Amino acid sequence: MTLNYWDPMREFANLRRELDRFFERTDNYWTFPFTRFSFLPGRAARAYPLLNISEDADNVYIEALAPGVDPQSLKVEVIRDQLSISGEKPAAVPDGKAEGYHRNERAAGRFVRTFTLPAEVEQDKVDAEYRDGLLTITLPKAEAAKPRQITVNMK
Amino acid sequence: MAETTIATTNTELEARPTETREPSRYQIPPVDIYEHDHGLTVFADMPGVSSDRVEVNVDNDVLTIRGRVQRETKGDAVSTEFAILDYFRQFKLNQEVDQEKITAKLNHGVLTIDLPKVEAARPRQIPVSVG
Repeated sequence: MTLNYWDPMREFANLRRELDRFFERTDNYWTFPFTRFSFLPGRAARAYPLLNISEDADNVYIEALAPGVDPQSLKVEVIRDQLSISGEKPAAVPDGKAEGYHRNERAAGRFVRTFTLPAEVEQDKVDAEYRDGLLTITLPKAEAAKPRQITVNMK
Repeated sequence: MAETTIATTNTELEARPTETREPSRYQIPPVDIYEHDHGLTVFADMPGVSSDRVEVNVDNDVLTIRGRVQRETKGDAVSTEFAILDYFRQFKLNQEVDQEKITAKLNHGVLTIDLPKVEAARPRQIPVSVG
C-alpha cells in the first residue's frame, strides 16, 4: 500500500525527473551547464540529497550525494516501500560571521527526503554505508516483489 | 582570492585528452572560502573522491584542486538525478598567503584546505601608550 493521495509537488518532481532524463540522454553541448554543477544553481530549491536509484532481480540500490554530513545525524527509515533519509550537514564554520565569507556556495542545514521505492523490500535486511560523502543503501527485495520464472507446460 | 583557470604549460594537463575520452567533462566543486585572522580556509564538496585520489597543488600562485572519482554502480538504473565526474577548480592566490604552510585534509567528501597568512599580513593590535 502506498500513500495514494494526489500530491501536486510529486507531479512536479516526476516531471522534473523526466526532463532531467531527457537532458542526460541527449549528449550534446546543451547538456553542459546541467551536468557541470552538482549543487548549483538554486541549491536551496532542490531536493537534497540527490539520489540515484537502481535495481536488479534481488536488490534495490540507492546512492545519495551527501558530502559533509554528520554521520551521527544520518537516519535511514523504511516503511513498506517508502524510504526516508534525514540528517544534518553542519555549516563549514559553525559560528562564522557573514563578512568572513569570500564565497559561500555549499548549502548547509537539516534535510529530510522521502520517496517511493520501485519495489517492496525486506525492512530488516536493509544495509546502509556512508563513505567519501556518498550514502549507499542496499535493500533486498521482498519475496513477493521478486521476478518469478513460470514454466509453460506443453500439452 | 580570485577564481582562475589558467592557460597552462603543465604537461600533465595537456596529456589529459589521451587519458579520458572527454577531457572537458569535469565538474566544478562548490566551495566555501572563509577568512580568519590567521588565514583563509577553503571547503570544497567532492563526494565520491577518496583521500588517495585527491590532489591539491600550488604552482605560480595558482591553487589547483583536482579529484578523481572511481566507483562502481550496481544494477540497472531506475532513476538518475546526479552524475559524478572528476573535479577540477583553480584559484589565484595573492601574496598574503604563506604558500609553504598550506595544509589539506579530506573528510566525508569535503576537502578542507588551510591557507595561513604570512606574518606581515596578519592584523596586529598596536598598543597606544599614554605618556
